[in-house]
Amino acid sequence: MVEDRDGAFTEWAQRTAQQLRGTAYLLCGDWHTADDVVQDALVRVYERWHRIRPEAATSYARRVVATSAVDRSRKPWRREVPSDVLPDRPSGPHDDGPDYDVVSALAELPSRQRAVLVLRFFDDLSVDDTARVLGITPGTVKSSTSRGLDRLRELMRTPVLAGLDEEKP
Amino acid sequence: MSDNDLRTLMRDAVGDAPAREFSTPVIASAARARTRRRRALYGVAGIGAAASVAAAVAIGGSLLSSPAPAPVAQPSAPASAPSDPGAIALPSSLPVGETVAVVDGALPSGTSVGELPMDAAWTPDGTIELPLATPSGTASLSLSASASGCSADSSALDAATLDAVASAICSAAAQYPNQPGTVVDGGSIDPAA
Repeated sequence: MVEDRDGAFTEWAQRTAQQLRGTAYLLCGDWHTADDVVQDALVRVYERWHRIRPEAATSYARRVVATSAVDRSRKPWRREVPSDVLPDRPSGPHDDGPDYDVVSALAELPSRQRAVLVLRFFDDLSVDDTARVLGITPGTVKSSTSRGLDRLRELMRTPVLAGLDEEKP
Repeated sequence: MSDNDLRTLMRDAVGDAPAREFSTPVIASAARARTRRRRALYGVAGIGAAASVAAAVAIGGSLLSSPAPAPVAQPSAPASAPSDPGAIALPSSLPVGETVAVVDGALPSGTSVGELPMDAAWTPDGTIELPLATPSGTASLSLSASASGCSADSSALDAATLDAVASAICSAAAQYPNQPGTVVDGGSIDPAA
């Protein structure tokens, strides 16, 4: 019984873990935190494995990843702190290219906007599915998408993102 | 750079991910450790609550008995309780504290049970309302537990989570001889609830 459960879980986890890692990395900005978040999500799914269907498991795991990442960014000890010394950056602002790569730019967004953009454009979720995962309304998803894309464009100083928010849900 | 849109940028960013395997035995072990921690927490909370009840009964008894050493009527114990007068009274149905811990354990990360009102308790018909704190604000969760099963209802949670909550409540309630909110001793609600 336990072997059956573990076998089915392993198969599901092998199919899902890499995509979850990508989602978590884009939300957290570093692989170590992303791996912690994904491991936590897998543990939670494992605990409920006998009660949920595999397709619901993926949705549940994605929700755990998204909300954990949002949670972590809201914890006081994880927030940015003022510093007199600016950290070294690989490159400064240039007129001929983006100021930020996409991960750094995402890290500048409020956590909900970041989560919305990652779920919509990395996980390819619809507006309604994104709303369900994050527990917010579709209207909030749309407005967060629009604001998030505006801010990303500003940060990355590139026109390649133009028109993305005009996509149909 | 024709493919240089947000989707591609995101996929490229995760494309050079360092390798990482999630092994099922490690996940299973972490899940067992989490369960043990949760049970230990319930145990501590349960002992604390039982000790508080025992202390309150002892203080109340001594205050009542000090003016006149007449026999004081003691509440009769539930049929399943041991007759040892010095024993700590164990709850005979699912206490609110454990209900909160069980619900918290079944909620997705980011959502938790909010601050309980002072009068939070299982009603005699086996229902309770709990406040929820969600990323989008506060909400309410209605739980119902009876011999025929458990249910959970909240506009802030999806069907899978509500199923998980109801199932967790049923499992926890089954550890006690009575259904949550069961009336014992001819009219008083189980004090442990």
